[in-house]
Amino acid sequence: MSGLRSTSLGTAILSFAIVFAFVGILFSNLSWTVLSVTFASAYVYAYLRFVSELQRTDIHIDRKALDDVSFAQEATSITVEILNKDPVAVRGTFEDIIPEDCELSAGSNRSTRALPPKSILKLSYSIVPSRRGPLIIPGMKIARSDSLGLFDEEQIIEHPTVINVHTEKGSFDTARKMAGREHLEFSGMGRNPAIVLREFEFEGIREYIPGDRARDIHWKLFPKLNKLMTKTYRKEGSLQTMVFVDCSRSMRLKRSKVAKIDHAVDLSMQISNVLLSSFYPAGVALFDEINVLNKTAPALGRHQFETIVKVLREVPSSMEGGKEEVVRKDETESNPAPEQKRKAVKASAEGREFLSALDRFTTKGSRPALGIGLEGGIKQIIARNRGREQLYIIISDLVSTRDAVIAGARLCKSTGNKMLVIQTYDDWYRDAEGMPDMPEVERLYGDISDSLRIEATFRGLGVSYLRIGPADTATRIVRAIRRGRT
Amino acid sequence: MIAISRGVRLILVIAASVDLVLFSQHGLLVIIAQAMGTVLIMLGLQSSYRPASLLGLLLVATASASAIELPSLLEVGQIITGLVSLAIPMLVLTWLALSAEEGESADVLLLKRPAIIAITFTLICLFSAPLVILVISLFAPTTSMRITPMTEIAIILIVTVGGAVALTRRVPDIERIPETKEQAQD
Repeated sequence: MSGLRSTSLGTAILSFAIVFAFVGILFSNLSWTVLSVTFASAYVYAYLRFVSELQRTDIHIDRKALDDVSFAQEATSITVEILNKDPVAVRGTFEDIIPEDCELSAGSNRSTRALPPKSILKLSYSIVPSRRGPLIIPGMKIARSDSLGLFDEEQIIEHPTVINVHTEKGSFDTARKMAGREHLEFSGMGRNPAIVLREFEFEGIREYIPGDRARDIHWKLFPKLNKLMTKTYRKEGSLQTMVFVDCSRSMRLKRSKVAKIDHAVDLSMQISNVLLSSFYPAGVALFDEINVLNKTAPALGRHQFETIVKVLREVPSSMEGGKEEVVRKDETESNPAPEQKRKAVKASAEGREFLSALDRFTTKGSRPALGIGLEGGIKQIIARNRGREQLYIIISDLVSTRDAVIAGARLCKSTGNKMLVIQTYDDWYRDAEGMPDMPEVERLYGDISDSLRIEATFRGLGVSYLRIGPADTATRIVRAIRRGRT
Repeated sequence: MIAISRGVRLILVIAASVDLVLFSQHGLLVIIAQAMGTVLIMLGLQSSYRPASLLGLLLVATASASAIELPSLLEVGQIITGLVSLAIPMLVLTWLALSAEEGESADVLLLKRPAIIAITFTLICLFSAPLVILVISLFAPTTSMRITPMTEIAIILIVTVGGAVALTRRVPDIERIPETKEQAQD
C-alpha cells in the first residue's frame, strides 16, 4: 500500500480501522464507519508527515579521524558530530557505516534517540582496519521512525570520509631496526663489489697516525719501508636512489595472504630507510600502466622518511582476485562441459590480450615526448639531474608493466645510470591448491621460462635482477644486494 | 508548522472528551468508559507513554461510537453532527494519543500541509455518500434508488480505501548530501 514500512503500531491502527468498518456493517451504524474514517485519516496524516520529514532532512555530519596516521591492524579513533539543522526533531537509530574490511574495537558507532532541532549528537568509536589502503567511510545510516510511531524507514546520508590506512606498524618497526643495522654499500676495495653503491674510493697512502683502523694499514709496505703506512679513501658523491613501486592491476590482485602491492610497499619503505640511514638521498615513486601516480624526489634530511611514508600511503589497496580461483576450482571439482572450459580459456586469453595491448600502449605508439608510466618518470628524473648518476630500484611483478621496465632499463644503459629490478614473482604469491595438475605444471614451467628470459634480457642491459616471493624480507634482500647476489 | 505545548494538549484532550460526552447517550457505562479513557490519555501524555494513551483512545472511541447514533449521512445536518460529535474530537484525540512520546523533549508539532490534506480527506470521505448520489442523479435522473445505511457505508468505505491508497502511494525522495571530504591527516 505504501512506500514506507509500517510499524506494528501502524498495522494495529489500520486493523482497528478495518474492525470498526466491519462493526459498522454488522450493526448498520454509521458512527462506527465515521470512527473507521477517523483512524484512516490519522494514518494518512502520519504518512504524509513522515514523507515531509524525510524530504526536509537537513543534517550536517562532521567526521574526524583522531589519529594522524592510521595503521592496518591498529585501532583508529573516529568522532562524528551530527547536527540537526531542521526545526523538526529526527528520531531513530543513527549509525555511522563502517566499511566491510574493518572491525569495531571500542565505543559505539550507533545511537538511538530523538535528535532535537539545532542540536548535536556526538559518536566516538574506534575501528581496526584489516588492510592497507584508502578506507572509505561512506556515510551515515539513520533508521528513522515516525513521530507518531506508525512508520519507519532507513535513510542513508552520504558523507564519505577517506582515511588512508598505512601498512602494519610492524613494518615500520622493521624499517627502524634495519636502519641502524643494514647497509647497502661496502667499504674499501672488495673482490666482489656490490653493484649498488660504493661509498669509498681508494685515494692514496700516508704515514700511520695513531687511531687509524687496523684494516686500513698497508701491511705489504711495512717490510719495505719499515714503518706503518695507512691507505686513505675518498668518499664518493652519494648516489641518489629512486624506488619505483608498481601499482598496476596485476600487482594489486591478492591471491594469497600477502598481496604483491603490500609486500612492495613494505620493501620500498624499509629499503628507503636503509638508504637514508646511510646518508644516501632516497625517493620513491608510484607508477601504474599509464602514468606516475605520485612521487617524491630523492633527498636527505630528517623528514624525508616521513615524506616517503606519505607518498606510500597513496598506494592503492589490494583487491581480492577470487574469480580466477573460482573458475579453476569449478573445473577441477565438477569437470564442466567443454564449452565452459572454452569460455574460461577464452576469458583468460582475452585478459592476456588486454594486458599486452596495455603494454603496447604504455611502451609504444601515441606517447608524448617525455613518455608515460615508468619510462616517462625515469626520463623526467634524468632530465632534472643533468648527468648525475642515479640508481633506480624497480619493484614490479613484470606482468603488465614488463615492456615499460625493459624500456626503462635501456634508457638507464644509454644514460649511464644503474637499475635494480626486484620482481615480485607472480606464481609465488598464489595459494597452492594441493597437487598441481598437468596444465598447471605446464603453466608454471612456462612462467618460470618467461621469467628467466626476462632476467637474461635485464642482465644483457646491465641491470641487476632479483626474484622474490612473499617470504623474502627486506633484510634478506638488502643482504643479497650487498653481497652482489643480484 | 504549529507547536503545541503540553498544557495546550491536555486542554485539547479535555475539550474533545467533553464534546464526545455531550453528544453521547448518557449511560453510566458509557460515561465511565469515556472518563477512564480520557484519564488514560492524559496520563499517557503527562508521562510521555504511548501505550497508555492508545488504550485510553480505544476505550473512548468504542464507548463514543456505541453511544452516538448516526442512522444516515445523507443530510448535511447529520453530516455536521457526525463531524462535530465524533469525527473532529476523535481525530484530535487520535493525533494527541499517538504523539504522546513526541513531546518528550520539545513541543508537539503539527505540520500544516499534511494536516490540511488529512482533514480534506476526512471531509471527502464523510461527504462521499451524498456526493455519489448527487452524481448518479445528475447522470441518470430517472433511476430509482433506495439508499440503505449499508449502501452509504459501502460508498464511504470504498472512498476511504481508495483515497488512503492514493495518498500513501507517494514514495519519498530522500535527500542525500553528496559532499566528499578528504580526511586531512597531515
